[in-house]
Amino acid sequence: MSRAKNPTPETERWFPNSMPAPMVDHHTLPFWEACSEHRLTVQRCTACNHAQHPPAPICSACRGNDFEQAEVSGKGTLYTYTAVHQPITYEEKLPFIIAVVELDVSGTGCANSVRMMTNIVDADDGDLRIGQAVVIAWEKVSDSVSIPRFKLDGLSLQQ
Amino acid sequence: MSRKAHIVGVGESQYTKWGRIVDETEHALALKAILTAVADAGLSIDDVDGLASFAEDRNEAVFIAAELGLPELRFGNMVWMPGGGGGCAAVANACMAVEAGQAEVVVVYRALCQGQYMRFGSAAAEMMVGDTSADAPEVTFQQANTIMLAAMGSVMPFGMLTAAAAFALPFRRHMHLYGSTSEQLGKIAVTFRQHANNNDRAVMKDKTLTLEQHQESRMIADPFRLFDCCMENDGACAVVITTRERAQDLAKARGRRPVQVVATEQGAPKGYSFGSFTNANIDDDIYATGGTQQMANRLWRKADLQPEDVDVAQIYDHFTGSVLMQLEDFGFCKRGEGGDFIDSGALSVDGGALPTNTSGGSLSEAYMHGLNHVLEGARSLWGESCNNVADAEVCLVTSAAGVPSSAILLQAS
Repeated sequence: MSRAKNPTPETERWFPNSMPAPMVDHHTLPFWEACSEHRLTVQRCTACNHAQHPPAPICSACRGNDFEQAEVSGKGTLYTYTAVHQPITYEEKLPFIIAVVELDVSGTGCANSVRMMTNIVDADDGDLRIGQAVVIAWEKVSDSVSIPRFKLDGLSLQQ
Repeated sequence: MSRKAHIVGVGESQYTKWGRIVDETEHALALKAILTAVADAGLSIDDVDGLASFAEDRNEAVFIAAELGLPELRFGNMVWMPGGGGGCAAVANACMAVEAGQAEVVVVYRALCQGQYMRFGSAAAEMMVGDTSADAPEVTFQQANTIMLAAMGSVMPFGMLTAAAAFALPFRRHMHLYGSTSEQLGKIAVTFRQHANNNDRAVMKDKTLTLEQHQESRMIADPFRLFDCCMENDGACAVVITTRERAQDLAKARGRRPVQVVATEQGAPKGYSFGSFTNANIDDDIYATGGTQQMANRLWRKADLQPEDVDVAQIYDHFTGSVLMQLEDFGFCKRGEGGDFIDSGALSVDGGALPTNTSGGSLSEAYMHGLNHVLEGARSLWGESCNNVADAEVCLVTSAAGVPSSAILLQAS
């Protein structure tokens, strides 16, 4: 997989560098490389269109092993969350929010929706409600590593 | 069946706060617990020919067998079900070994001395945090060289490194779906503490807890407050399993009723992997549960027992929310009604419908990854608990929910 050809725009920083970097293997590297280009993707099975995340060696639906990383819109809904008040690296701001976000996979050909573990940034936990619309907020931590975090989707809040 | 597995002895070392045991090694504690349990059974250590543990136990059976001077180790076993999910599974494996004739007397053990040794579950975190210091000029990918690190490596960048956060996620959704509350969780913690206040072995024997103190305790991972989280402790415990034939004689000699392991089950729902710790894609109808309902249904069928038959329960309590969701999984109440069930006072040994964690559990007796729940299960049927339930005949013991788990049903005869 190729690295980002164009420099990614500078983004806001929400977490310190001491927060663990992604740990990758052959299967998950394509996902994280797409992230470095600020493209959010899910692993789609080319045989049955089952979508899964994180990427795995075979499709858990049809056991096929031919995939593509299908780019998704970066929109989603909040499935659940927790505000963490215990320090992890002792450098991060507390509390921070760990969330599970259900991704919008419309237009990707994926047969099912997919959730991913992430953070909600720029929000107090008191502002959060399960079912709220969220949108991707990239955090570039180096030229090769960007982390897909999310924030509340302001547009939908105005509804 | 004359080889049907029974629990015949239990034993433990002293339980202390995390890091307090500094003058003994962890494996020495394991030996102490094993010897105590074997003596409690009325057996000789030379009768033991099998050892079983769980959750990446540091104290491997081959070394324990050598240190104990066992005549022969015929069954050395460790469970794959992760963390506290494997305690009952280790008992189950011991039962299968004696019933199959692979061993005659199997001891299930667990020793934890986390002040001297690495803290449970911290290996990956320390490695990863250590590798990406704030001074590092460039944050780069790191190679995951185990399947577990690959799974954790996809969630650690989001700060998912603690069990409290992992298990808060499904319970937050449970609150959203069913209206369960922090006060209901507090009642679980308070009830188990009351039980522990009567337990000389309990780390929290002399510390009372009120609902107000629970509600004022600091937040760990919302909605879990300090007193929703189990302790971390040093100590060891062990359980001796053998055949009915031997158990009847041993029980008679000890003036106990034989306690049979009626049925055992392990279970991980489809695609569960490490539960909510690593898996955001647990099926929607399972996400806000303990993940143990399928397994519970199999357990009831196998034992030909119903939730109504249970006189006393020892339910794995790494977090209060997991207790609430397991009560639903195991059918003591309907899905979504765990909070009401707790509000009814059901868990109290003082007249509750389902006296639960009669020794105080992991929240208040000791955190031995749930093996102490098995000890208390046997004691509660022998009438040797610190909080006996009159005429108790059937006890359910469960292991950690929210990860692949296991459970056993015990019955006195």
